[in-house]
Amino acid sequence: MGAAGRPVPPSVGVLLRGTPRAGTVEEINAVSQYLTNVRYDAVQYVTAARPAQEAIAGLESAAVERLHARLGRGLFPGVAALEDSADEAKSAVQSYAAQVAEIHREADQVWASAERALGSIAAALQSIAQICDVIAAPFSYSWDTPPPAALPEPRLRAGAGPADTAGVAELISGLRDGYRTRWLNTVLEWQLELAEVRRCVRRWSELQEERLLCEGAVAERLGRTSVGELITVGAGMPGGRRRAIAVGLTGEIGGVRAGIRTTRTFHPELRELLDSADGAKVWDAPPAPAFVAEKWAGLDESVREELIRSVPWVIGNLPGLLPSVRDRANRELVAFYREYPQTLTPEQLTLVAEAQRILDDEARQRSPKPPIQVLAFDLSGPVPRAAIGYGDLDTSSHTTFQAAGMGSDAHTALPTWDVAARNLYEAQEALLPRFEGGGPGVVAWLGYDTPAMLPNSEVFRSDSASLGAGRLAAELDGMAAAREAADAGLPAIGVVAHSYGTTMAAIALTKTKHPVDSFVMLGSAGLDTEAVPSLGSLNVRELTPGQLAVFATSAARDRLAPTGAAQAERGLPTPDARALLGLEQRVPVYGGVIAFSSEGDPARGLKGTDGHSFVGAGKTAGIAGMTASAGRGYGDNETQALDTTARATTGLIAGPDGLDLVVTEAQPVVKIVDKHTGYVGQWRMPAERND
Amino acid sequence: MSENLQLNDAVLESAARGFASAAEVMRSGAAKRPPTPATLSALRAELDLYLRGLAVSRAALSDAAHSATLALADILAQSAELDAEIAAALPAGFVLGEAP
Repeated sequence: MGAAGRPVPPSVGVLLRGTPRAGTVEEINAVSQYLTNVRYDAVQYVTAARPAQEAIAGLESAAVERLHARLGRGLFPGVAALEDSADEAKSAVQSYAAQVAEIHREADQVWASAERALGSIAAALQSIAQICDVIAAPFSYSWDTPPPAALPEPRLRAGAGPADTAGVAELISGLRDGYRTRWLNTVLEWQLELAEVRRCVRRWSELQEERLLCEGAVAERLGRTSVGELITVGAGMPGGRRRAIAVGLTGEIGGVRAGIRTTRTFHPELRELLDSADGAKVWDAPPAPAFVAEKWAGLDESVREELIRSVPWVIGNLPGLLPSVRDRANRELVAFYREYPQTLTPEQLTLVAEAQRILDDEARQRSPKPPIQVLAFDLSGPVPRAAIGYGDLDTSSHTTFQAAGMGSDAHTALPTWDVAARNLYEAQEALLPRFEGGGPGVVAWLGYDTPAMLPNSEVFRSDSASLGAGRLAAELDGMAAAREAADAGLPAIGVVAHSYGTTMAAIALTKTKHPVDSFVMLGSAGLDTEAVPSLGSLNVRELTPGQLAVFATSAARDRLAPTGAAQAERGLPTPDARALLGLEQRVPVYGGVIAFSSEGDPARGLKGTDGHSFVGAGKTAGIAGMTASAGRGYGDNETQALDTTARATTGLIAGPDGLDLVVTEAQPVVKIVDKHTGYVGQWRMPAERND
Repeated sequence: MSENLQLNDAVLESAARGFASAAEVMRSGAAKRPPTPATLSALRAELDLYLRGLAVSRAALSDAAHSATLALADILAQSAELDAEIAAALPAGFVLGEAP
């Protein structure tokens, strides 16, 4: 017998590369126990310190009052932050321990199963080799290529059998009958075991992926605790982490009170730029961007530098200045807040840490892709606000502002919109010809106090939208003015809005002076029909004569956005949006919108959107499409919604033809009065048909 | 300075002991940092950094409670000193005018 094929690998390890096993569950549990102890110590600390604080509250002395206030501002919130951090970290580590236990258990099973299957294959290989030897058939089988199920035709070795033909035939027939079944059974078993080995190899690799995902989730949860955020905020500075944690939690370092500076808004040189030395109003009531752009161009370089360094909040948030200028000022601002973390509320700390994470990621890349520009950064109010740019917004050929909706205040929503902006940037970059123009630029615009999530009723009103709209309008005009003044060429400016962001952005587009080149609405929560009576109110360019570059889609499974629009009695940009209980029939549909599908296009490898989220998460979509599953949000990669959005914002859609685009017809509502009860309602009238 | 001045040595001493005890809880406490388990990704380093961050947090809170203790001790000492100074500044007794 001569085995010419590849033999069974000497060890399972040759096939099962890498390992999903690392560390032990006991070690992870020890960390969990440590976190429990930290939390326990925090509770003990409060138990000792709280009565002391309460006791001195009854004394009357300026010195004691100051101490009392200091404890209330620093020590007690600090220990609460430590307790919460330990609690959250413990929960993350416990989940991780359970997942690791499961992965290790399954890894052991997979290893053992692969070992057993390889053993069976080795036995099968040997058995087949023996049969081949007996029937004088060639043997050249590798362990991973089982022979065919049919027994090879037996032969007799020269001189080994009877001389007569009949005897030979009888002998061969005997061999055939004797080995056919054994051969078949052995081959079948070999095939089954080989399938099992392949399953094990695949599963082994999946287990490693799952382990990495678990570890990523733990790291993310640790990073989102107060202590984790302070670690991020202090990174990259000598002794920075220790200082950030100490000062951030207690306002002291080594028992010495840390100094506090506040951001300045006053500078005499601002008069040259704003007609006022105080720039405190540049966020809510900014001067005309064209005026700012012109004045900035006339300032000496030394004055510009002085303003960036001395009043970064003003310069960083001033529409009409080039993004690179604002980015420099806002980076100064982020650095300032990192220096004084004790001045930050938990929401502000979260935003500073998240911004720092994005900047750290950028710094780790030799050639950042895309480069980051902090276009706006404002911690002056209770709700932090920010706008992060992706790409070089000074030179981009296409600049798209992405506006978020309900429950998307900057500190909570930046991680999601960081992903969404990068997705759109990549999709646009893939569509734009290389080496032509400056490429794409995307702004994750989280520049307003968004309405809280349901059941809060803020989302049914337009107050937040109106406030945000003023600022977005200033930013849109500011971008055009800055680029024009710098002689940097005007980019095609687009606005992409999601959910309540469409309500806000539509109002903004009634206030701008410079028309935008495209407006895309995804999962719209409806437009305020008083502020936006028709598309004609929007300052958007025409694609073709009479056809504005206004696009919209609403996924069939997203019932949340149309239901919100109906509840708020706001008009919908797409007629096929379906609310719960058919409520969408209570509100009008805008005519003249280019509606596109977000149901997916398998022929082009594009997925459908299955819920309201901009970036999906989890294995399944939420009930009534409240949320989208992972990879199936409006802004997720390889979705039809993102693909069409990228095309619309890069000028690749010349008109309503192609890509399943349909121009909507206006469907107004009529008032209906119940003559018995006097109840006044409204109902949508079907579109008038000309055919 | 507040309108009234009312300090109580017993309260100040008790509060100082409370903060000293809090400082001690965080300084020694029950928690001893365990070794971080091996991981597939960079989680081990991040977890280690996080656990060190918690240790720094504990030290910072211990320092803060300690500085509150010192502040109270200082107030206690200063108030006693002030009281003594005021007492010293007062006339020793009633001064009787000379009989005409």
